[in-house]
Amino acid sequence: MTAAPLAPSAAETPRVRTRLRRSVFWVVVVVAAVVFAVFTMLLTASGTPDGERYSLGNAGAEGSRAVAEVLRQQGVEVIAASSLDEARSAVAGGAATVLFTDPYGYLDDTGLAAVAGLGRSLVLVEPGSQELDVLAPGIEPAGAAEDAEEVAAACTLPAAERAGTVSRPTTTYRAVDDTTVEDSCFPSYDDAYGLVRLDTGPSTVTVLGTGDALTNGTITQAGNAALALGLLGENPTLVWYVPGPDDLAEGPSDTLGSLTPGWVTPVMLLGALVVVAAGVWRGRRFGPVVVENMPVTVRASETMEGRARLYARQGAHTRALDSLRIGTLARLSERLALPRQTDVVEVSRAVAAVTGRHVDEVHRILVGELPRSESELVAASDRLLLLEQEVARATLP
Amino acid sequence: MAVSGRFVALLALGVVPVVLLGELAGRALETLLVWIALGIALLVLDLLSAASPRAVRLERSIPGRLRLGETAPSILYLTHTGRRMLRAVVRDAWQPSAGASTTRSRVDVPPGERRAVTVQLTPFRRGERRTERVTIRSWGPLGLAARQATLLSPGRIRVLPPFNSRKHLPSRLARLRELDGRTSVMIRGQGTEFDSLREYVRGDDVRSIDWRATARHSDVMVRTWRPERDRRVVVVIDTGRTQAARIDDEPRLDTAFESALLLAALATRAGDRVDLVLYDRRLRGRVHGASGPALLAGMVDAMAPVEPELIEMDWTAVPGLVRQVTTQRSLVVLCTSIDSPGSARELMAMVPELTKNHLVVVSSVTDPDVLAASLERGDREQVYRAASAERALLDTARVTSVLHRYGADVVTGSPAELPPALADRYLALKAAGRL
Repeated sequence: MTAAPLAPSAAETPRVRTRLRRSVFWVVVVVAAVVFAVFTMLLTASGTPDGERYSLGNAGAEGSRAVAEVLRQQGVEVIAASSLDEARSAVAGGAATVLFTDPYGYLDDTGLAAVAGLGRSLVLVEPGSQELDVLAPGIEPAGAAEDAEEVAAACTLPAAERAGTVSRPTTTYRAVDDTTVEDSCFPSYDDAYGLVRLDTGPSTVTVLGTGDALTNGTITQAGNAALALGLLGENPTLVWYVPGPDDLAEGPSDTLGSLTPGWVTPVMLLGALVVVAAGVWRGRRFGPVVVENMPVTVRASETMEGRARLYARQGAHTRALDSLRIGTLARLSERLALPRQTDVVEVSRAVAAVTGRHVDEVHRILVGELPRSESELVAASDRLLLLEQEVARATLP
Repeated sequence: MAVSGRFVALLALGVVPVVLLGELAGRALETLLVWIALGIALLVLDLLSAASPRAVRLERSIPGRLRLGETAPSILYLTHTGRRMLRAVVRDAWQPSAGASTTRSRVDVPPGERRAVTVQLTPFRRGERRTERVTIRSWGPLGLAARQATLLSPGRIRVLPPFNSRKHLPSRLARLRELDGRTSVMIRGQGTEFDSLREYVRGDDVRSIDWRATARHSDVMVRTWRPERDRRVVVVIDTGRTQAARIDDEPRLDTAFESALLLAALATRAGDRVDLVLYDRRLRGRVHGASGPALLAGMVDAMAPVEPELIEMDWTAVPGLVRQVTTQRSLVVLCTSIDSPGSARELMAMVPELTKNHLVVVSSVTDPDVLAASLERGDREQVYRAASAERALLDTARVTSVLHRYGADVVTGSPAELPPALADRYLALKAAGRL
């Protein structure tokens, strides 16, 4: 015969299964939220403006998506390039216009020289003097344009002529003394122009100071659109080359990443993991917290202390001395075996008789004098104690 | 689930292969992933092979009562009903003031066997101390991971008032025997109740010789007297808010308990009947009609769970309570505090009603700090403090004199002095035959 198996004690902790079942709603909610977030991110990621000026992907005021889209509709193949290699392979197709602008100065002289050989037709948008030196020798920046809303073409360049007027150029350019230029448009001050075209031999270089003609925000003003389309739509292919980080001259420079051994990152990961595991190890609670109602600790002398502080703050020396005197009187009359309700005069007389002091003096100590300051209060209290001690000594059996 | 420091160390040890293989073969990341996978695999394996912490039957063996300050073992029996070896750490969740010696104990229980976990309890607070749950953490054989469950297993221990004042009992009992005339020194009993006649022995008070009986007998006979017996003593303890204040780190209520216990121990030996009433606005405990050891046991039991309530004592109900206990003239001891005329107004209004029929003693704790402060007058602060202390003493004195006028007796003392003082007052009343 076997004994019936003992039933285990009731458990308070829910089983894993129960806990899962209880939390299934929240798991679903969290998963749904994550899926939704990822989905919307994927949806919007493609359309996110990158914010760069002259970027073909940027639909904002500073971007150049509009002109690219219109050119595409007109049958021009617009290819964005962000590195020299990309630009080279894009140009390889055939006759191409290369738009080049390098606002961040990624390219050095060697890179710029390479740009010079890119295509038959090169459009430089608001170039700096370094770019001009290499790509358009003989042209130099001539500072800001005259203050006017718009400037007229005043030249025979077809694109400029069609445009008529364009927005005020950001920068103007001029040809150095003996340089012969093919055409100069949009004059500003005496010999400064918003657009200069020259033939450098291998290619035709157009220096454009009116960058606003290309950006979405301003392309619709004046003849900007006509100028942009005319300049950029000359060839069936347009390579839109804005140099990026890939164009940086690659050198043997050591970065922190290339110097550290390959195991450092894994070790750091492992360290983070160990910290998390240690947190779980130390943080796991050993059962629920035990609650207990504890009594409040109230010291009985609190009221006395409180009253003392009130006396002190108010400087209530008369009242304080009164209390002290009443206490002394009670003790004295007890010691001298007088009835509890004895008159002060009687007590003074008895005390004087015992101690040999004068009755008036004792009376003054016990009731007479009025303290005018706190130092007098302390002195009076000392006299009371002294009197008590004298009486105690005198009445010792 | 819980992980151990061992698991954390195992993870951290992964640094060695990661650095070595990273240096030699340049495969640090792969090594890391393999190491983590290995760790987690071991963790899961360990977790799966740990015994279930739920398959445990818990039984307790706790002493029901314990005097405050004493130590008693609380034994928890774990019967393992599962099939795998249980390597457990057990936490018996006693309330903090139960003063458990340890809250965690290691215990290994093979399947089908039973093991005991003993915890020494030294409670530091009176009342009912409880434990509701036992948490069991069952480790796997590798000691990397554990399963954890909290099981219900209620237990409680009643912590009784310490009755420290029992050290005063022998001397008071000796005094009582003297009163009784039953001492080895043959003095005449001091009571007023005739006890018996016995033969004269040398040393007896010649005034107690009963000449009539001597004439009837052939020997000289003396009368012995004894104090009255079978008187009633009713102890009413105030459990209201003023009793919560601590004097010398002991609540007034506990001092009241000490005095009541000493008085009861003494009175029951003296042949009187003692009743106890704990009251604030409702009856919080009562001992009625017990005597001898049963009386003291009943009293400490009634007192154990009572804590001062944050409400004002309702004195108007006290005469009624006393009348419920007895209509006979009795000694009524009121354990309360008489701090100021303001807070004792109700008490003072009620006392005359009691003193009509009964002998009333009011017992109150005084603060030795106040007395000390009233004599300490070094500087300005201390003088003000002394003044305030004198004011407090005066307040107490005023209440005392009013109570005296109404015919009640007042016993005061510091927490250490009050219980013997009350016992002495009882003996004095008994000796005077006023009971």
